[in-house]
Amino acid sequence: MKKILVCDDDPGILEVTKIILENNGYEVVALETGKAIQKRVKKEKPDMILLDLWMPGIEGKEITYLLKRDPNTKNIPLIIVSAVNELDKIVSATSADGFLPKPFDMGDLLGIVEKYTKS
Amino acid sequence: MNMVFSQEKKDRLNRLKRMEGKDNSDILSNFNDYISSGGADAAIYLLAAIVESSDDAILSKDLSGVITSWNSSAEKLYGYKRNEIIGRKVRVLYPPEKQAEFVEILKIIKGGGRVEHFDTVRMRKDGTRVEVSVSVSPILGPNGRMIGASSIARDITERKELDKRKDEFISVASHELKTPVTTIKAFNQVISSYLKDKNDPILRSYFEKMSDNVDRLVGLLNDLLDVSKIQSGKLELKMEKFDLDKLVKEIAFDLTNLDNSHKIIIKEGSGKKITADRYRVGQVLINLISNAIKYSPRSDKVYVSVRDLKDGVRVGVRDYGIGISLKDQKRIFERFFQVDNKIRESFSGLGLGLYISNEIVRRHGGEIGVKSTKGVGSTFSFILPFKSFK
Repeated sequence: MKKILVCDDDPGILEVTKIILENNGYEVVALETGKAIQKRVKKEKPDMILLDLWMPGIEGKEITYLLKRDPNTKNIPLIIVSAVNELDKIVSATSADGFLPKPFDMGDLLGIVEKYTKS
Repeated sequence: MNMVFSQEKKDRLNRLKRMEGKDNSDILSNFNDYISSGGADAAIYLLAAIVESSDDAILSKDLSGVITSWNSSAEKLYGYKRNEIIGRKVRVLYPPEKQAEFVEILKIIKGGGRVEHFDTVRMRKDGTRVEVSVSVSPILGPNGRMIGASSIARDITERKELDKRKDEFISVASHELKTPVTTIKAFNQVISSYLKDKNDPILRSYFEKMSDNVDRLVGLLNDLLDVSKIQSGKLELKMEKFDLDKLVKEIAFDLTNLDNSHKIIIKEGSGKKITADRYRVGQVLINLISNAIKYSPRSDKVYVSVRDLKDGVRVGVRDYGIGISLKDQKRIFERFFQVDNKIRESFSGLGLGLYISNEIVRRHGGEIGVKSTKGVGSTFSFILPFKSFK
């Protein structure tokens, strides 16, 4: 079973993402804050990370930077999921592997997760 | 100003001085009387007083760019006193990174043109930068020959700061609105997929309606965001080469899937690829076809045609709906414009779709228009040049 780590400060989005992914055969690690994310990623070794951008404490951009410069975590596909405007432009300035704008379709979420966990 | 005035002129001057404090329309109407009654000196005094009291930085320069006059607001804005700047080159106000602008402006002025409300940056005496809106116009001598140029600059620091705050607010507001919508939409889809296996068509149809309305809400939010981008000049186009015929077919297919009340019939095709922003052109097509469907409730067909022109391509969307009066046709591409209240009550919407479509087409260097007869139907068409530009 593929393991997906989802980090989003909005409890509603976190819960519904967890439900959708679990209903489709994925194991989900859900984090409401990015504070301890590096430790959790190293411990859980997920197959993929879905990361929100605007979060209190530590922002998605900074988390991406930290995870992508660490040799232990840099190869894990990391997708930024956010409601910010012009997400494509923002993400292109980071080393994230892709992005999914909110609000998303269930099909789009499952499509992107399948794409990055296939290999 | 060293001028010697006759008693008569002094009287006129005193009357003028007494006018201070009245609004400009009084001053201007009297000003014309003074010129016609031979009060040229007084008129010069008045003009100088107007220039001096202006909140805008006003200066003049000769054809070689040497500053010849400088008002109080220019002193405040740029930090140079009048006596230290007159006689110096206007170029000192241009920061090193804007020196090319000087040559450009000079070229326009020497060609008899003018520069109006041009947002740029100038340099103060202490080297700091100031954001200004500049208008430069030629000054003509008595024989009609150009003898120099005037430059009017307005400090726009506050306006820019306000724009920045507005952009930040819109960005946060749209993020905050989209976040709960994401949860609603996703939970709705989860429930719909549970209901797929249950034999409860009524409940399923309720959730489909909810889903449609959440999508509508997202569409409205995106429209408001687009308007804000257009207004601040930040609607960027991502140009790519693509097959317009294919895009028309895809959109017709998607819209028929969403609402099968109308058959979308595609007539002709271009067969050529165009360079444009595919997403934005798609947005125009969706808007025009959706409107055609929405405003033709008693008809069941919408025709879409793609036709090659010499330098571009014309796309037409024809419906057999309620039509638009000639008076409304003139205003239909304005922001927030909707035809009369009766129609507003029958058809929902913010009245932004055509405004956004017009802006998108215009930014491509194209044109959009409508031909319509009330009660018969409408044809909206837009032209995109093959070589679209921003």
